Amino acid sequence: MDRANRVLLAVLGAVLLVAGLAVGLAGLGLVPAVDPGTPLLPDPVRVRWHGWGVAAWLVAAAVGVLLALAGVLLVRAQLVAGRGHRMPDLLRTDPHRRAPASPAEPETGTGGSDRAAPPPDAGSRSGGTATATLPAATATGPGRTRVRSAALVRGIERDLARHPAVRRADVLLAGDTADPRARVRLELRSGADVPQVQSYLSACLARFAGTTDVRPTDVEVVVYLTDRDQVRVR
Amino acid sequence: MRVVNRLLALLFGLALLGGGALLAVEAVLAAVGRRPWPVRTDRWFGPLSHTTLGDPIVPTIALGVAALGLLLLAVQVRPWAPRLLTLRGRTGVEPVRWSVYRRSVEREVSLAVDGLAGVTETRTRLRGKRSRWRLTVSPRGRADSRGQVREVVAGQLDRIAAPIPVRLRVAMRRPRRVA
Repeated sequence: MDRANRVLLAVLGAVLLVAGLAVGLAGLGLVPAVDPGTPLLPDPVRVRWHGWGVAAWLVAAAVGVLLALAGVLLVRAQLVAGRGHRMPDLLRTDPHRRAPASPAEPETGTGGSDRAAPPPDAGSRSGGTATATLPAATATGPGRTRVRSAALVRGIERDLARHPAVRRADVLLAGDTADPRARVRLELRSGADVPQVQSYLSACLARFAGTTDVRPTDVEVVVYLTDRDQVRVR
Repeated sequence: MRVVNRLLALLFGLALLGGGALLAVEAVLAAVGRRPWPVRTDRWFGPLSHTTLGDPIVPTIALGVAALGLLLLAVQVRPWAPRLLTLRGRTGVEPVRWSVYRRSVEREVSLAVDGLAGVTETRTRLRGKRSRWRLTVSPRGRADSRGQVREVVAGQLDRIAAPIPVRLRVAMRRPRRVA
């Protein structure tokens, strides 16, 4: 966003500079081809505009709508954090269950619960999982567990925050489940040993991959060193 | 500057939105033969038809706009201090890219150097392009503390996992006289 704003404002500055100089120099009589006595809205332009009739107004209205739309997009881009789209929820199928007899069997998700997939025989023992509540006819179908991406994010954030040098961790899981990307912002306490935190993050990612089978293909970590929690003696 | 840019872009977006909506409404009303609203046509049409390029107000405003454009262009084109700088990553196959906020490193180094006996008011300036750091540390203290300052800064850079090598310059400033 910063780069785009910079380019936009540089272009705007260049346009203002060129237009301002052109009109200013023409007004001062320094451009031989332009008469300083020319009105800002010359008669030929007015005559031509009226000659176009209603079409001219309709084109102007369309231009106005486009400008307003560009304005909305620009305002939105400034107000919305552009960190990419959140990764969709994980849907896991229990590999130990047999394939469904009929493809028309209903999906047996946990309806947004954050629980991990149950062991193969959990349905018959606990009765608390989604597969256990299914009618007997559908219980042979593959069990499915939905893991919300927000729960994944919370999990990895908590794991990261367990390190004593980490004051706060913000994680965004973006992309899709086949190509997940992680954006991590780590607020580290003053005096933190960054290589140690780097090792810890690697261990966190390994744990995360082992638990969820999600292996981010691209991880971007931004470190912020802060002394907010330090006691200052004056 | 990034915040200022964001505010300017927001302002520009709002101007586009307002101006575009006004243009669309006025044009549609004119196309269907209704009275102009919310701005009456004669308010701007008359002055634009009668004012010439040579009227003093026109070059004045135009040159003012040009000056504003030049200022905006110069501010955007000049080099900015980077917000983030790259850190040394762990060697391995992990697809992890590390970076750090420049200001936080500057603050951290200043704090560490100020911890030395006889050294105060350290100013730190970190520049560079991503993984090539250029660090200037200017503390107030005796010239013979330079070695210690270098040592402390090197330790801090190692702790922060700065990319190697870092171009380090230590410029000692005279200590203040105590009356």
